[in-house]
Amino acid sequence: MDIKIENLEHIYMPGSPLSHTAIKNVNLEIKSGSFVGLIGHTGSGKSTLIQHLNGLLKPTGGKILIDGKCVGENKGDLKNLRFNVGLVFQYPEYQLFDETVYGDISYGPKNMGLSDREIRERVYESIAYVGLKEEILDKSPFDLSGGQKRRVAIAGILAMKPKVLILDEPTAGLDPKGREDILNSISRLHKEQKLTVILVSHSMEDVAKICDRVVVMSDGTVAMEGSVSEIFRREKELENLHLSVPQITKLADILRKKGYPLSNDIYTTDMAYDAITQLMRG
Amino acid sequence: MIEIKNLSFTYEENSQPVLKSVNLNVQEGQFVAVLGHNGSGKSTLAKQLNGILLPSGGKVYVDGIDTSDEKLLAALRKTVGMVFQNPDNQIVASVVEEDVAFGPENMGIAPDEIRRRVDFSLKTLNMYHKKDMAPHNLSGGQKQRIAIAGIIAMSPKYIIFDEPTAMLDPSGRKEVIEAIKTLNKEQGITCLLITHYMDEAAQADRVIVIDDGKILIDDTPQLVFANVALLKELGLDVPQVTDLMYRLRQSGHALEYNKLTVEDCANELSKLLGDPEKYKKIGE
Repeated sequence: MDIKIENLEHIYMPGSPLSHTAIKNVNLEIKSGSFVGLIGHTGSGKSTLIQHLNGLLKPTGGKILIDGKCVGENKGDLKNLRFNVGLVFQYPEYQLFDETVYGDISYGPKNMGLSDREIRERVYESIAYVGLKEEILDKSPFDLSGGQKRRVAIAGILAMKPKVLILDEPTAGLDPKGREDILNSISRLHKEQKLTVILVSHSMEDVAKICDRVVVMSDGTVAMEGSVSEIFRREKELENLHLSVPQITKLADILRKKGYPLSNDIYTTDMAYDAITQLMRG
Repeated sequence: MIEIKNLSFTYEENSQPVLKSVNLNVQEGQFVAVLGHNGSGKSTLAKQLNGILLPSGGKVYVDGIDTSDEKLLAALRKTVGMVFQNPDNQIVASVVEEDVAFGPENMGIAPDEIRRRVDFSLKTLNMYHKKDMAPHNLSGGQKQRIAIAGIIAMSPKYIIFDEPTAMLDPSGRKEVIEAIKTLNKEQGITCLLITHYMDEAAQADRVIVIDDGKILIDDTPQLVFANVALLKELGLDVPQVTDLMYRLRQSGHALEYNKLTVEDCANELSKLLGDPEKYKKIGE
């Protein structure tokens, strides 16, 4: 699904003394099948922006076109939109509510009016994607570890088979192994199901590793947009926006300043390793 | 000094122990980072230090105070402050300076002393200029610094930070880590930092790795991060530059293992690479 955002603006509590413009002049195109990292300091408008993409918030100005259709124009479309655009909130495990993991994951597909068999298939498929075992399905979600709960919550969204998956800091508070597991699942989904993914993250290293494109938000608007290498080349500008480049990019930068001929798009450990060993081989 | 002797802890009877005979001493003035995967027992250990949780077996002493002695609980809480992950859960007032004053007010401190402490804490955390603001209008890093200021206003000797940067953006993370380092170096407050971010742990004086309720590693960051293979096996990560240095060493390049900062690694690599000029000629 192609997403096109035109002149989007959102004012919270307009016309009141507490009126606050969260986003303005947002213009953005996200092609179907792309994997976008959305970064920006806290309060830059990332969460406000993504809540517009499945109609949770209505624009106070501008519009959003999904596959050419304007979001919110027709009320009946909203339900379908929410099945097509899956949104995983920050700390989604706080939203688990059912007595069993199975019940929780099947909630979405049940609301879509699918048959019991179809629901069952989707539940099993979703847990496989997030790397959970079948025996977990009968357990209470509240007896699971933090990382497992997080994966159950993501599985609940996947069970609706969305075409666009938006995740708001899915790895916050997880340990490195838990982070890697979740990122690998998302990466696999993107590749195998051709899902369009929007990943909101504070980890430049994660964005560098798995995204193709990066959108940088600042003060409620899009400050930069481009491929991962185009964005992480602009270290100074990112720092001015309270962001940073991956640690390894900083290292490559220092070496380049010392006079070593290294390219300016090194942002993963693999890239740095290859570049340095190649340099030594001559 | 914090003294943990043979500490074991079980949340419910008949369930698996979360801490298994942990022994640990932390000297005054240290900055200690605690690492471990989710469920390893890090936070449980932290909560033992100011009596939120009490030992099922063994003892915890802070400056000689036995944490399980109920009569001394108020004294213990004054000595050991805690900062948690989510700044929003730790802020109670609608004005920054009132929030910072909340702790000392509850301790029954005289008003002009409270004023002095609030001003001092906010200045230490570089938040004095925000004292009249509403906390909800601040960034995550700023809110977390307000939460820390509220702890400082109670003048603790020890502060336990339980993943204080997990919800912050990169500049918020930097602000909070700088604040912790200042408190440790300038005020001499003993800091225990629980974190999943290895680059933060690399800045401590001492790193402890907990696995399955036991202390597995206790050493300087240089030596802990030299053991990349073990850390990975434990489900932990190493900073990108440390990983790069490790991989280059593994493929036979002579590099010092004890370099942790980006600058030190760059210097070490330029020693290995030699004169930049020779590469330029090849390039041409």
